[in-house]
Amino acid sequence: MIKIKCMLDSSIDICKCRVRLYKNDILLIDECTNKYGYYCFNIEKGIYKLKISNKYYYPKIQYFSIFINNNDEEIIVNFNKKHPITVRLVDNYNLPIEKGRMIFWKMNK
Amino acid sequence: MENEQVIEITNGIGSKEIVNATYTVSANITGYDITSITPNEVEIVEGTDDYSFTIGATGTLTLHVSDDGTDAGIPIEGAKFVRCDADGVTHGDEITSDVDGNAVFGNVPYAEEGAPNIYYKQTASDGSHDFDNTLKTITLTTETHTEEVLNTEAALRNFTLTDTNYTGLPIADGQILLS
Repeated sequence: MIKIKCMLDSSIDICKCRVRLYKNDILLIDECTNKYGYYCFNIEKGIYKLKISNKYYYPKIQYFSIFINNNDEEIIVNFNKKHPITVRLVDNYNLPIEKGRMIFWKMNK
Repeated sequence: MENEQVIEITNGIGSKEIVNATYTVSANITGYDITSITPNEVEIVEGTDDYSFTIGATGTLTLHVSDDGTDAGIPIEGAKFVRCDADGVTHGDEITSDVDGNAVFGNVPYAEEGAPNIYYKQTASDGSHDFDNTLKTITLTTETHTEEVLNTEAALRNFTLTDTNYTGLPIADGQILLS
């Protein structure tokens, strides 16, 4: 039994995440998670590509390459919510920087 | 790419919708040292919408104050200057010219092309020289630059002191104190 679990910010179940399973680029499963964030299925052993997508949270599409054997497995897919932030940038004199750009790189923690 | 978020900054402020996560921070700001951005890592969390950063520069602007506005003039000690923004609002501490007439703004931006403007004004001289207190603008294209500043000798002024009760009767002896 393979269980796909979709969550928001690692704490809230997400229903209606779209789960697509491919083998050799052929679509085998195209279903949605239930109200508990789960979609479960049985499938024979092999290497598959999993595509999980969601309309509202980020990243909107996530891909996984998975090897399915005879064991039960649970794959947890996390999505995040965006919220607006304001950044302020000044120099050594507390003078606002007239023009430029800041770059934020998301760390994998 | 989802992992990279670019936030445009104008007049010290930028806004963006971003997911909660921990990010390393860098910047692309002409004239400034991008390695000096502080903090260089930030955690964006639910409930906190404002985040503040500083960035430094490594240029030096020397203002050489003299009685004729040249490097050969008599240096003036005690002239004061302050950094400003484009609207003339002061920022940071005042600097004062030394015995050689030099007042130094460190950590100012510079670049061969596209460096931002540096605004400053003079707020005082040494008490016996006049000065221009208007907002000045300069752009540094090299890491160090010296700007000549003219402070002319104060003009000779005449003061008269007469008796309040006997119009025109001069006061023979005494002092007027101006402060």
